[in-house]
Amino acid sequence: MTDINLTDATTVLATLTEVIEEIAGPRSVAITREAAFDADLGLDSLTMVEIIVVAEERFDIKIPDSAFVEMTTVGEAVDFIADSVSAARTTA
Amino acid sequence: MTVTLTDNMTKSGIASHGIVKGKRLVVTGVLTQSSIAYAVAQLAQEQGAQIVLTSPPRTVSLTSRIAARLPQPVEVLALDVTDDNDLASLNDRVAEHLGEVDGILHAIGFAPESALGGGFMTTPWPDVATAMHVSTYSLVSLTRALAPSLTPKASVVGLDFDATVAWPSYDWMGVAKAALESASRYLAKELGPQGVRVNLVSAGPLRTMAARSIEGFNEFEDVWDQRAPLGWDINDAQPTAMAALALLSDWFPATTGEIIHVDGGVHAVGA
Repeated sequence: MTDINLTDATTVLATLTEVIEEIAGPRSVAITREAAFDADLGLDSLTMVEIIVVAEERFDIKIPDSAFVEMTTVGEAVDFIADSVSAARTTA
Repeated sequence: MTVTLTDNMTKSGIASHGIVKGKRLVVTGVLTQSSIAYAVAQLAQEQGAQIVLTSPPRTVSLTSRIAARLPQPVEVLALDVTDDNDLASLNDRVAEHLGEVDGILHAIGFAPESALGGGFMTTPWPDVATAMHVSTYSLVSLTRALAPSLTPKASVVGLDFDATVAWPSYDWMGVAKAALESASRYLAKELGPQGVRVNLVSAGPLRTMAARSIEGFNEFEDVWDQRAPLGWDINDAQPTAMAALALLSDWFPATTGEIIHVDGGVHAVGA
């Protein structure tokens, strides 16, 4: 990972949006921080698991199942990822 | 503290004794890294086995991504156990990669939402039928599909959750597991004359994706916290995987139709 702005929430959102569309295809509604994964984006739990698995690899972090099941909106996932990336940097 | 990795140290932390060295195993049910089947697949590779994975078509892509985290590259074959065509072609597809089959891990279970989580009295038959078809009958249909490739002394291992009593929320999956226990005994009886063993591992509750889909799963966790003589870690599938591997090895040569409890001892105590 060489992108120095990776921890920036906007950058995380952009990357996560790419991952969502890569796995689930283009969405009919905008992928915003407020969007709920199931109700707004129509993503079922298996699709979500795959998105999370790819996100783990893209951001080089671990997203425990316990954290993943708490995420209902894109913003919650973005914040978790940004925090994890930032924590990984600090301890590296 | 510095930990030095020696030659036989592995990712799972279990020394490589090679108890399944050279075994060719079909492993179903790898969905995420928390899957019991993932722990089995990892341990199997570390202990010298050659494996292929199967996954329902819907999750082949997810399983393939997770499989990439295993110690060695592995093929993922699409298998919907309710699809006769998938089953009919399975033997050839497996044989292409493994030649013959020395063992099968059956880690397949599914119940529609209405069949889990407290609606026991109102679950319609088609949903019950689906649960039984996927979770119970598949032990037999999967084994039958691979029968042409099964070697003498092959071992079939399924995953169970204690079905001798009724649990909160588990509902029709509990019924399916009770039937699985019986089907396993019948399969053992049928295949015994060919030398093939069939056993189940009855595990304590583990926080897999499958478990997360059961509303009220935490009630199980409390039981294990309070009653397991050995204690129980709901996040550690390793003990269950080790038992499955032992059953897939040559070290249980005269054991079939058995249910091995890997539950910290809960099944043995009344309170």
